[in-house]
Amino acid sequence: MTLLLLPLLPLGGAVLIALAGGRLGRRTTGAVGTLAIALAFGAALSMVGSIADRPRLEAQLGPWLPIPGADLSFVLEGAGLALALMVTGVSALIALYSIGYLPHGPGAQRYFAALDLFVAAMLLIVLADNLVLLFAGWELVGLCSYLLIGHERERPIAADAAVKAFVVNRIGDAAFLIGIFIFAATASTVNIGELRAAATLHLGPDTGTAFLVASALLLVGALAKSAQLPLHVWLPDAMEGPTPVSALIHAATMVTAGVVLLIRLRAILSPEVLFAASVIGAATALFAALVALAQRDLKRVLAWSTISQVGLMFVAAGLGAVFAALFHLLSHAFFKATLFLGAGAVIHATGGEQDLARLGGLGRRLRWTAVTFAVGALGLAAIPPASGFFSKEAIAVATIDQPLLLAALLLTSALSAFYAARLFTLVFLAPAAAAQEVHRPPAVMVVPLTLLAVLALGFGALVSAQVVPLGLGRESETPEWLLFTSGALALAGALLGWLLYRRGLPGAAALERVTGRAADGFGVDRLYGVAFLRPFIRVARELDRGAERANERVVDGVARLVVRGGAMVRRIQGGPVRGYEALLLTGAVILLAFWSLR
Amino acid sequence: MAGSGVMPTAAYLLLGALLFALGAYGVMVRTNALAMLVAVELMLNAVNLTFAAAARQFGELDGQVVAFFVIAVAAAEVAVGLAIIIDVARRRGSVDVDEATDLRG
Repeated sequence: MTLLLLPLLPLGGAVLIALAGGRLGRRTTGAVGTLAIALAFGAALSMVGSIADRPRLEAQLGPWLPIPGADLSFVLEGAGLALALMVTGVSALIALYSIGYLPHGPGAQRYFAALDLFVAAMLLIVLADNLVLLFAGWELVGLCSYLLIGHERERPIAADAAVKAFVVNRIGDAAFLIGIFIFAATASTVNIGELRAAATLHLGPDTGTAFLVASALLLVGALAKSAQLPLHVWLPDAMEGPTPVSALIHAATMVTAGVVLLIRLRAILSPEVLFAASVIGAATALFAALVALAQRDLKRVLAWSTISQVGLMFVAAGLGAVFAALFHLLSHAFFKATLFLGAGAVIHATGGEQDLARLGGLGRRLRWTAVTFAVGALGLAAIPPASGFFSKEAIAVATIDQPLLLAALLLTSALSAFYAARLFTLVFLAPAAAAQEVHRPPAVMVVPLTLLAVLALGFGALVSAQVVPLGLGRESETPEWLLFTSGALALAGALLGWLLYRRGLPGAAALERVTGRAADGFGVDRLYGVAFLRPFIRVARELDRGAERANERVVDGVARLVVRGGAMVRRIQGGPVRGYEALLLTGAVILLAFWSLR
Repeated sequence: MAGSGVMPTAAYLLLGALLFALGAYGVMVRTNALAMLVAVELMLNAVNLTFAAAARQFGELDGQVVAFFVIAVAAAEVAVGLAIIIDVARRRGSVDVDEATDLRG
């Protein structure tokens, strides 16, 4: 029964805020929103004991759709509890932080309602026992991301970014839905457990092909949601949302949904599709790391780094190393949330500044923020003892039979360390371009930041030493040479980043000219503009013009006819009263004559 | 039929037609609303006469019943019509229908 509380508590919070939030005031609204998620976290925590006795918990709310298996029922197995704990825990901290971050504007009701709904939707993805219910969560996640990215809706850039995120995700959603249809048609169930059984039976070549196609379609959905190539374009723009929203989307919800899908459906998806997922993941990881090098915006560096890190999770999940994927998902959640909340603290402190060229020298003035940000950056750079190191090792060992993937992974690691060091150096160490007024973050922002930093620092070692179980068995131990190589690469990258950027952006102008070419994401957005957007707009405009012409001919024509007819008829109605009588009589005489002469 | 002391039905019909034509003519040529109302009364009673004559001719009561209806309706019509005319007279100071053209499109 506790299982049902997990998605229902945040959902209840969202409903409560949506109905009563206007009367509560900003702080109370925030407190209710945070409490709903925190209670869900407590519910998840209380299940740690029961999951130890039984590896699989089920709970049913009732039947839903007349499709076999499509009930309102939930299942907790494998990675489920670890994911649920992370989603609720990190989201609760982000919600708490938001109370301090969003002081202005009347949007608190909208914000916290969407935030709670977001968490509920993500828990649906983690806990749904069938694909249809999972898809409902999938859609809700898309909706909530739209609402939150466009939170500052009076800014056209934010509104455009929200629409872009929604539309790109829609491509994946459509593919996902068709994939579910194919699964339902061939296996006549959408229940994940039953599908798993059906997939292991290998019901002949026809079913095999159907499963292959459906798997590929589901992968497209995962690529869109997780911002992987070629559907990654929405995530950098999504930085227009408030910074805690970015933290939520990148760490706890949304972006990791694709990885959760791959982990949960590993036994159902075709091996070919899974391998494709890891190849795409590796390509994305490398590509996004290169783009991240060149970003001049504090949040955009982090955005591209997320695309890159989620790519690494895809590599692991695709190779069947679900433990590694889950491990990196969790540790990434902690260090990326730390980084984003730290970035939020910087933006909050400087009054909205996020341009790396103008930030700088904040290390002394925002000491605690700098320390937590450093912990997050260590995680991103995968330098021990931060948790990112251990989880990246787990992925590296999974790719050990695939030299190309391993090479991509190591290169990405080095690049990640480099841009993480670049980011930290530019914001906190390098001299500031201009003197800035700085105000300290309030306690509601510092406490979540600190807790997340502690998790980002200690979580990896705890899992690695098997103090904290994740619900999945670890695949294999990392050989020492690999540990050494990747650790050394990360350290070298970070050192190089610090050395090159310690005098600020002007000190590295030559390097920036080279890397700057990747700043626009290698022109993928421009390509989409030429290939899809502009033709679409042209067709739409043509159709619009055609409609205008049809409008003129048909509608205006009818109107003109009526006007002319009216002008004609009204002449016989404008006469004197006696004229009417004459007409009446004439009519009567004609009728009489007609009847009598017939 | 002559000398029987009973008027032939045709005579009633002829008188009715004459009265009706007179009334119709009055409605058309007069512009005074009261005179027009009188003319309309004339037309109604012409029709009543025709109905009564027909009732006598066929020995049935239907025509008389309709005539009574017409009398009742005519009374109502006069009440409404006079009320309108009084209102028009108050507003315009005249009951000439040719001058009452406010609603002409």
